[in-house]
Amino acid sequence: MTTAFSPLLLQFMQESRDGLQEIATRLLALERQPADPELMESLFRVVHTLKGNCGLFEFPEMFRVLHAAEDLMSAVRDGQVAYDREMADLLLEAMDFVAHQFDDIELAGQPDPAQAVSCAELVARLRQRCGMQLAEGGGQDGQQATRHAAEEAARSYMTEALARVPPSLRMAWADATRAGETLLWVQYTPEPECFFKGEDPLRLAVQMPGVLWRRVLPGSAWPAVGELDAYRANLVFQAVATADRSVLDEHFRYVPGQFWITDLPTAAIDVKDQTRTNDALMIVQTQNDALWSLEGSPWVPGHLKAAVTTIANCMRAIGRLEVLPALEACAEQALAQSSVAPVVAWIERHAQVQAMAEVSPNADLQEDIPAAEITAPVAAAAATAAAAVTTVTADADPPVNFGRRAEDSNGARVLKVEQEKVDRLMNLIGEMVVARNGLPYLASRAENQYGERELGRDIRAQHAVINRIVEEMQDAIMQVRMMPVSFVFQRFPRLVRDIARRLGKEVQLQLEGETTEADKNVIEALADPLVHLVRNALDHGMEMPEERRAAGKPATGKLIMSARQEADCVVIEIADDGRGIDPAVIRGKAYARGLVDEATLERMSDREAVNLVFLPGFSTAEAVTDLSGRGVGMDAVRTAIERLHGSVHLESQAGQGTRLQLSLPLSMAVTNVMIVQSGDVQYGLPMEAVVETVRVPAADVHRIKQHNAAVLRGRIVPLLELNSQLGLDTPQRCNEHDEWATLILRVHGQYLGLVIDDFREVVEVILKPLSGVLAGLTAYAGSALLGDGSVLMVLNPKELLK
Amino acid sequence: MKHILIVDDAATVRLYERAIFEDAGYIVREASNGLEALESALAACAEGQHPFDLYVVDVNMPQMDGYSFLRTLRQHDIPQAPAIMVSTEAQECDRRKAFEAGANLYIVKPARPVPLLRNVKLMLGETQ
Amino acid sequence: MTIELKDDTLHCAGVLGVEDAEALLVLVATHPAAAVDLSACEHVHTACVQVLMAGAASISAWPAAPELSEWLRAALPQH
Repeated sequence: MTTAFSPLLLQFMQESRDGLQEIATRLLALERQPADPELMESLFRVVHTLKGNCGLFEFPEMFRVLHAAEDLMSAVRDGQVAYDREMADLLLEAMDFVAHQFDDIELAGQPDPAQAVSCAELVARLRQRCGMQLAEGGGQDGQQATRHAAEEAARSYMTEALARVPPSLRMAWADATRAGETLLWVQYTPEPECFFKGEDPLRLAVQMPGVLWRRVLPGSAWPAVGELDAYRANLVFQAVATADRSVLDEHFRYVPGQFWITDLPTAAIDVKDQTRTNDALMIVQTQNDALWSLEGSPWVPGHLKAAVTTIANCMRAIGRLEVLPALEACAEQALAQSSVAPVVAWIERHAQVQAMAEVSPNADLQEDIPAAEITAPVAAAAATAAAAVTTVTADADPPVNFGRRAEDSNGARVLKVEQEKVDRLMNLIGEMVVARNGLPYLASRAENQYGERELGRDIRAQHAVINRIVEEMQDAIMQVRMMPVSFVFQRFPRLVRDIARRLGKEVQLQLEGETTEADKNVIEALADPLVHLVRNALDHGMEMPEERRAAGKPATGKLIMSARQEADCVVIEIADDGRGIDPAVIRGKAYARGLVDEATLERMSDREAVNLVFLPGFSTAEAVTDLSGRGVGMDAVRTAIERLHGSVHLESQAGQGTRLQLSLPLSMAVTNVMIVQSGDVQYGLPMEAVVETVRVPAADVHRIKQHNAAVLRGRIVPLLELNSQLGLDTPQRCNEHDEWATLILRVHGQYLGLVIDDFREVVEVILKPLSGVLAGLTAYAGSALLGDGSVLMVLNPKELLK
Repeated sequence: MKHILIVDDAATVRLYERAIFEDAGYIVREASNGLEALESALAACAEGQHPFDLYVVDVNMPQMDGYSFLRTLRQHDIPQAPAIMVSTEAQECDRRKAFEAGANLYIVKPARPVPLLRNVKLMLGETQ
Repeated sequence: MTIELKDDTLHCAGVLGVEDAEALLVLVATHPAAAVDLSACEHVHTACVQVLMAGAASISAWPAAPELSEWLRAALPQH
C-alpha cells in the first residue's frame, strides 16, 4: 500500500475486502440453503452497502458490476428469479472482478481501464440472467431489458475502445463520415464453446471486408499461462470498417447473436469536441467553489442539489453517461450525511483524471500510449485528488462510516491497523534495542572514568528495567502481527468448490481450528503451498463419484483442513479420504527417475517411501495437462515450507486417503541488522552488538603498537578494519572529508571500533544459519534474504573479533 | 424544450439575453427583480407546470437582489436547477458571494453570446 | 504445422490449427522468454492466438499475409 491514498479510500478498500469475503461466504452458504430468506436478505444488504460505498469514488466499472449484481440479488430476493449454482458462479465471478479492481487500485492507484470490456461483458451476463428468467415470467419487459442491457454494454465497450484510437485516425474518420461515407463499428464476441463447433473466430475476422482499424482483447483477464484453458474462447474482436451494412451482416450470419454492428457515432470520434469537453469540465470544477462556499454557513441541501444537477448535465452534454450512477450515489451519501465531501471528492477525482485526456498539441505524432506510461501520471493525479480528499474528510463531520449499521459488524472489537504502522513500530523498537545497548557502556564509563561506582550501578539497574520493557515490547509487537489461520483458510471453500466442479467430483470441505494464530509472515507465506496441496488432493487424491461408490465409499469425498498449535509451532493438516498413495508406485517412480538407489529403497518403510514425492524432480512435466501439475511439484511446496523454517510430512493409506502435515514456527525470529558496505560488498551486522555509529576523522586515528585506535568519548577504542578481519587485501575507503565510517561494537564486554567503507540502512531479516560447506565459516552468523532477492551475509562480531 | 428564467432589472439586458436564448430554441420567461423571480419559480414548480431548467440572474436589483433570490430559492424543497450569476464585478470576493448564495457559474457582464450560449447548453445537458 | 524451438525462438510454420494449442501452451509456459517467429505461418487458429496473448509472447516476425498480420498485431501488442 502506498500512503498516497486518502483515508477515505483506504477505509473503503478495507471494508470492501471484508464485504467481498462476507459475500462469498454467504453465496456458498446459500447453495446449501437456497430457500433461506434471512441469508438472502443479509447477502443483499452487504452487496448494497458495497455498491453505495463504491459510488463515493470514481470506479465506474466496479460500480456497474455491483449495481448489476445487486439488481440480480434483489430479483432473487423478491422471488422473481430462482437461485442456482450457475447464478452463484456468476455472482462469485462478479465479486472476483471487484476484488481484481481493488488489486489494480492498490497497485496503480486506479482500476485498469482495459477492464471496461470484461466489465461490460459481465454486466451484460448479470443483466441477462436477471432478464432471462424475468422474461419467462414477465414476458416482453424482461427480454427488452436484456436486449437493452446488452446494447448498453456493447456501447460502453465501443466508447472505451474509441477513446484509445489515436486522434489523427479519429479525425480522418470524422472527416470521412462528414463527407457522407458510412463507417461502421463491428464488435464480435465469439461464444466460449465455439472452438468445439469447429469455428475459428480469427479467420472470420481476417476475412471481414473493408477494415480500417482493429483491436482484439480478452473478454476477461487472462489467467497465468499455466492455468489457461486453451479451448475456451475468451476474445472480443473490434473493428471499424467501411463496408455495406448488409455485407457485414451476411459475413457474420453464421454466428448470430455474437456480433454487434452500428454506425460509428460522430461524437465519439470527433476530436473537435475536446474544447467542449474541457468547458464542461471547467463548469464541473467550478461546482467545487459552489460547494466549498457552504463551509461554515448553514447546510442547505438545495445548494448541493443544484450543483449535482449542474455536474450531471455537463457530463450528459459530453456523453459521459457512465459516470452518472456513481455521481448519484455520491449525492445521496452527501445529503444523508449533510456533508459536501463525497461530491467534492467525486469532482476532484474526476476533473484530475480528465485533464490527462486532453489532446496534446502533437497528438498527430502520438501513437497509442502504453498503459504503463499512463498510469504514473494518473496515479499521481489520483494522489493529488486523494490529498485533496484528505482535507475534506478531516474537516467533514461526522466521520464517514460507510453506512455500516451496527448489526452488520460482527461484534468482535477489532481495530484495523495498516501494515505500515505496525512496521514503523517494529522499527522503533529496533532502534530502542540499539539505544538500550548504549547504557552498559555509559555505566562502565561512569565507574572507570569518573569513579562514580554508585551512578554506574544505578545506570545498570535502569538498564535492566529498560531491557525488560524492550523485550516485552518486542513480544507485544509480535502479538500484534499474529493473524488467525482463517485469513488463509477462508479462500478454500470457494477454491475447492470451483476445482471440484471443474473436475466433476463431489467434495465436501471441512475447516477446523481456524482461529489458531501465527505470525503474519507465516500465514501469508502459507497461502500458495496450501493452494497447491489442496489442488493435489482434489486432483490426484479424490476419485470420481462413481469410482468412490464402486469402492464402497460415499460418493461425496471429504477434505479436512485443520490448524492447531503445538508448543511453539502451528500445525496444519490437509486430509482427504481419497484413493491415497500407493507406496509401490512411488518407489517405482523414484527409482525410475534415479532419485534413490535400490539399496536405499529396500531399507525404506512404506511410510518413508511416500515421502519421496517431496524430492526435487519427482513431479515432472508428464502432469502438464492436469490441474495441479504444470511441472510444479511437491518439492516446490517443501521448499516453500522450509523457507519458513517449517517441515512437511505425508502419510497415506492406499484406498483410504492421504494426510499432509505442515509444521511451522509460530513466528519467525526477526533480527535487526545494519547493512554496511565494505570493499564493494554489503554485509550485515546484528544491531544487538552495535553501540553506536561514528565517523572518525583520519587525523584522530593513532597508531598504537600494531593497531590503530582512536579516542572516543574519552576512552581509547581499538580500531579494526573489516576487510583485513575477513582476510581481504582491499584497503578500507574513507569519505571525502577523510573520515572513517566506524561501528562501535560491544564484544565480550570490550568496546571495539570496526572500520568499514560506509553505513547503509537498518533492516529486519530472518536470519538463516549457514549450512553445508559454509557452516564452518564462524565469522558469519548466517545469511538473510533481502527484499530485493539478494543474499546478505550477516557477520558474527564475537567470532570475527576474537 | 428547456425553460430559462432571466432575472434582471434592466430591460435592455433582458431583451439581449432573451434573443440569444430564443434563437437557440429555448423557452424564455423574464423577471425584473428577485421577488418576482421567486414567485415565478415557485409557481412553475406547482402541479402541471414546467419548472425552470436554468436561471440567469443579475446581482443588483430593487426589492430583492440576486443573492437573496438564490439563497431563498435554494432553501425551498423544489427541483433545483443550475443558476448562472451575471455581474458587473470581476472581483474574487464577488464571485465567492455568488457561490455562497447558490450560483453554479459566475459570468462577468457583458456576457458575450457565444460563450454564454455554450455554457448554457452544457449546463442544460445538451449533447450538441 | 510445425513448431520448433531454436536459439530461444519458437519457429512456427504452416497452419497452426486448434489441435496445436495445447502443445503451444506447454512450450510458451516452459519457455516464457522465448520469442515467437510467425513469418512462415499461413494461418494461426484463435485458440493458438489466445495462448500467445495469455503468455504475453513477444513476436519476432509476423506472417506474410497482410490481413492476418494486421489482426495478429492488434491482438498481440508488442512493447
